Amino acid sequence: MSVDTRILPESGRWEPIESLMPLIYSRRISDLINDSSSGFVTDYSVESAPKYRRYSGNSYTAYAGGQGYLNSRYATAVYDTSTRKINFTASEEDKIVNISLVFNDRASGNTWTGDSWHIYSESNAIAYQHDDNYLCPVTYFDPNQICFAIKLRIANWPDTESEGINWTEVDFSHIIPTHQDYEARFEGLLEEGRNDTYWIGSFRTVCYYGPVNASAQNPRYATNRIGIMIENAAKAAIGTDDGYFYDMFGCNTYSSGVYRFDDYNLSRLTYQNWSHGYFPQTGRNGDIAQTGSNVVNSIWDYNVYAQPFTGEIYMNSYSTSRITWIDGSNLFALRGRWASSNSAQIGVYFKGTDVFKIMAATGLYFTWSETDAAQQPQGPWTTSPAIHLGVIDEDGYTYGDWVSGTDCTRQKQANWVDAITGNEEDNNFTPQDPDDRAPDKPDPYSDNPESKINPYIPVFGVGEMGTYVCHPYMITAALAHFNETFYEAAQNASDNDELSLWSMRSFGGIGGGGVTDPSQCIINAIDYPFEVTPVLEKSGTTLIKDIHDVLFGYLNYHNDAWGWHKFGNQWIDVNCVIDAGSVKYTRDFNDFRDFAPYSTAEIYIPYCGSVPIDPEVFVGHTIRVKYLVDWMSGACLALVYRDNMVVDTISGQLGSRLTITTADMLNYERNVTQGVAAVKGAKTQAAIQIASGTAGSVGQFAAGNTSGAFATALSTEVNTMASIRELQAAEYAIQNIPIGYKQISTSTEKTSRVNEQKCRLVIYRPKMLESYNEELFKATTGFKCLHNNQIGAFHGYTEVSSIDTGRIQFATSTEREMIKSLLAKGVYITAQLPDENR
Amino acid sequence: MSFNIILMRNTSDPRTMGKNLTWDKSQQGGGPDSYGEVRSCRPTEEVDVLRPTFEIDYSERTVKSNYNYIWCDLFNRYYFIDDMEIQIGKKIIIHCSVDVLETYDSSIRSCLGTITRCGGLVKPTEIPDEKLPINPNEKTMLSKTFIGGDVTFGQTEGKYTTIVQIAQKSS
Repeated sequence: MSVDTRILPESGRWEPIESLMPLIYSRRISDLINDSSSGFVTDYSVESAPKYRRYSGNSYTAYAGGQGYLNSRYATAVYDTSTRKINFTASEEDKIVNISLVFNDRASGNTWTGDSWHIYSESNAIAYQHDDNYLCPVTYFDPNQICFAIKLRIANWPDTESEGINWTEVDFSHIIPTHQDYEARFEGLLEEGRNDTYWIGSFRTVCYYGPVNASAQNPRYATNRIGIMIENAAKAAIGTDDGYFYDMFGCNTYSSGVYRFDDYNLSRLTYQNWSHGYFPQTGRNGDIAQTGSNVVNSIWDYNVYAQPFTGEIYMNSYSTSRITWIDGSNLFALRGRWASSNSAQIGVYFKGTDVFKIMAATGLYFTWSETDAAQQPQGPWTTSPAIHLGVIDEDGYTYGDWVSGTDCTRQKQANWVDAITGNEEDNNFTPQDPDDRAPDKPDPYSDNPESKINPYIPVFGVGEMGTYVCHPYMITAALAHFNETFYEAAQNASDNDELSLWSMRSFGGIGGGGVTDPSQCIINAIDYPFEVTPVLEKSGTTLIKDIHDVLFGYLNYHNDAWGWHKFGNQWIDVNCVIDAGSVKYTRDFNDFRDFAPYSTAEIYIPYCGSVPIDPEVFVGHTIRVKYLVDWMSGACLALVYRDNMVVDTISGQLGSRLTITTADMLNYERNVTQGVAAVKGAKTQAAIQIASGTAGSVGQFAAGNTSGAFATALSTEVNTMASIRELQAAEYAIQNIPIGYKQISTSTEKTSRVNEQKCRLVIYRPKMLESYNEELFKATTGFKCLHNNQIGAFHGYTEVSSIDTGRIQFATSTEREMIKSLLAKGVYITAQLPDENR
Repeated sequence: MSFNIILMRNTSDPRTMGKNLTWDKSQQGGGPDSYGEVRSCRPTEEVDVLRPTFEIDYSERTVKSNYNYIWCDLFNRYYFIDDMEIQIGKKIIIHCSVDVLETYDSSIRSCLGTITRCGGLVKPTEIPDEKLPINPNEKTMLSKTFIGGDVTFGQTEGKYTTIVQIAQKSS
C-alpha cells in the first residue's frame, strides 16, 4: 500500500501526549507515537533495556487515528482499572482515517496467569499491562491455516469529518462491486483445505480487502481498505455436545453463543450485536471467554480494534463438512442448517501464505508460530530464521515481500535508522489524510503488470467474460435450493429425523455412500437469460408448489430403515414454446430489387445464430420465431415462421450450464473462448463469401432461367442494346449469388449472453449507382417488363418483342418486317393519338 | 403525269411513332406554324414505293429549307429524305425511304404485342433488369427487430432464472 512518507517523522520523535501516558494504548502504539529511535518502536517497559521494534510507515498509517487519537472520534482512551473498562473521550477534532489496520497483538505465550494460558488474560489488561512477556510486537500466524471471509467488516468512510467510522458487516457477495467505481478484489488459490469437522480453527475469518463501505445503498469513498484479523488457530476440542458446535461464532440474533477452541479448552464467549461497529460496546467489550458461566478473560487488544473474526459461520454438528470448496474458484460454500435462517453462504478464502503477504505489507515482524513469537529474539539485529520482516524500500513502501531475520542483517531495513522525510516542516507533523499528499508511486493494487509492486492482495475473479459472470449468487442459489430442499423435506418427513435428512451422507442415495459435496447432488444447474416462470406457466400450466422445487425426492432414515419420498407434482407439464416475436418483411423497391440476388436477408436468432433466408419466401409476409426449449439441457430449437407456417428451423443453446465443478469451469472457459472465436470466424467467412461470391449457378439471368416468354424475348432481342451495362449486370449476378448453406454464424450460449437479445431481420438491399438518373433511364432505355397489350397502350421508349401485325392492313410484307424489327429494337411512342385521317 | 409531295421537317427521332412534323397534312396549308412545301413531283421511270426517288424542280428555297421528311399523297406514305441530288438550276432528285412507323402509326398502335421494355412505366417491374445500373459493390443494410413475443431476453437487471436439477432416486 502506498503511504505518505511525509507523515513519518524525521527524527522519530513526536510530541508526547504527556497526560495520556502511559495508560492509553498498548505499548506498541504508544511507542509509535513516542518513538525516540527512528524507524523503530522503542519499548520502555524496562528502562534499562529498551527494546527496539521496527515499524514502517505503513504500520504507522495503519494505526487508526492521528496523533494522540485512537481514532477519529475519540481523543483519549483510558483504561479504568476499577471498572475494568476503557473510557473514551470524544475528540475535539476529528480526523479522517484513511487506512485502518485491524490488528491483533497477542500476548507472549509464556504468560501463565495461573489458570490458563496467555490467551486468557485479564479483561482489557493490555491497556495497562507492561509485562514484558505480554508485549509481543511480532504477530504470528499459522501458514497452514486457511482464512475465510464470509462476512466482512468494512470501515465505513464517514461522510463528514464529524462522523465517526462505522463498521459494517456485509456479506461477501456485497463486496462484489455494485458500483462501477469500485473494484473489490479478492483471490486466492486453494491448495489444501481443511475439511474436518472439528478443526474449527480452520474457520477463522481472517482478512479482507475491499472498498470502504461496500454497501450498495450508500456508496462512499472508494478508498480500499485492508483489514487483517489474525488469530492463531487452535485445535478444537472434540466435543460431543451439539450445543458447542452450534452457531459457532454466530454474530446475529440467531446465535446462542460464541465458542472458542484452543489447545486446551472449549470456551464459550458472549458478546452482543456489534452492528453499530464501534468498540467497545457493552458485552462486546472483549470477547469475554467464559467457561461455563464464568467470565474468564479477554484476549483482545482494543487499541487497534482487534477482533478475532469478521464473519459469521454457522456450523452444524453432524457435518462431515459444512465447508465445500467450489472447484475452479477461490470460493467456498458454507452450508447452513436452517433453510430460513441459516442459508448457504459463499465466501472467499485465502491461503495462510496470502495472509503473510498482507502482514509483510505492514512492515512489521511476524512469525509463524506463537512460540516463536514469544521466544525468538527480535529487533533489528535478529538473525532468527523464524522471525520474518516485511520488506520496505527506501521510500517507505512495502510490497508484500518478506525476509527472514537472517537476511535482515544484510538488508537495508536492519540499518534503517532514519525516517524518510527530510522536511523540516514535518517535525511535529500532524498526520493528514494521506490521500491529500500521496506521493507519486505505483498503485500496489494496480492491474498494470508493469507495476513494480506486486499486488499482494488477492484478486477475485471467476469467469469474467463480457457481462456474463458465473456469479457466486448462482451457486449460492443452487446451494440454497439444495438447503431449501432439505428443509422442505424435513417439514414433510413423517418424523423430523434431522440426522437422516440433514446429513449429506444419508442423502447420497447412491449406494448410501457419503456425499460430502453438495455439488455432487446437483445434477444440473441451467441458467436462463429470462424469467422462466411466466413461460413455464403460460396458458395456465400449473407448476409445482414453489420456486425452490424442481424435481426431487429425499431419503429419510428412520427406525433403521431407509425410505424414499417424493413430493407431489413431481412431474409437471411445462410449456416449452417461447414466442420470440415477429416482424413484417416489407418491400422497399416493390420491384425485382426486393429479391435475390439483389436483396438478401438473414435472421439473427439469439442463442441460435444467424440464418440466411430467401427473400422470395418471406417478402411481404410476417416472420415469426418461436423457441422450443428443453428446460433440462438448455437446448433449444428455433422455428422460423412465414405467417403461420414453419419454414425453417435452427438449433441452438438457450440455457447456460452453471459451473459447478472444475471440469465445468474448464469447459465453460473453453466454450466461451471457442464461441467467441467461432462467431468472429463465421462472420468473417460469411462476409468474404458474400463479397467475393462462391461457386454456384453461373447466372440467374441466363436465358432459360426465367419465364418462357422472357427467355424468348431474350433470345430474340436484337443486340443493338447490348452494352457494357449488360455485361456488368451479368457479372453482378454472379457475384451476388445467395449463399446456399444454412447457417452463417453460430454462437454459444455464453457468447449469446453478450450478443443481441432480440431476434432481428437483416435485409441487405442494393443501391443504385450514383450516376443513375431514373428519368433519363426511362426515357432512353425503359424498364424491363413483360406486358401483353396493344402497342398504343404504351408510350415512351418501348421495345416490343413480338407483335401481331395483322391489323396493319395496308403495309407490305416488307414493311411489316420493318415494323417488327424497329419495334423490337425500340421505338418512342408519343402519347398523342396519331392523325385519324390515315 | 405528276403528283404532289409535301416536303417538311421531322424533328423527332426517326424511331418515333407520332412524330413531331412541321406539316400537318390534315390541315389545309399544313396547319399553323407549318413549315413545308407542296411540290409537284415527277416520278422517275421506276418508282420503288418503299425507297422512292422523287424529282422536283430546282428551288433555292427548297434546298435551303433542309427538309428531311416527305409525305407522298400518291403512295400514301411518309418518307425519310435520305439524300438529295441537286442539279442547280434544274432539278432536285430526292431519295427517300419509307417511314413505316409514322405511316402505320395508328395501325401499329392497335396491334397486340409483347412489350419487353417500356419507358412509360412508373418504376421497374418484377422482371429482373440487368440494364438497371445497380451498384455492384455497395449494399444498404436494414435491420428490423422483432417485436412482441413472450419473453425478453436480458443480460442484466436480474432477469435470470436458474433451474436446478437435483439428484433423485425413484422408489
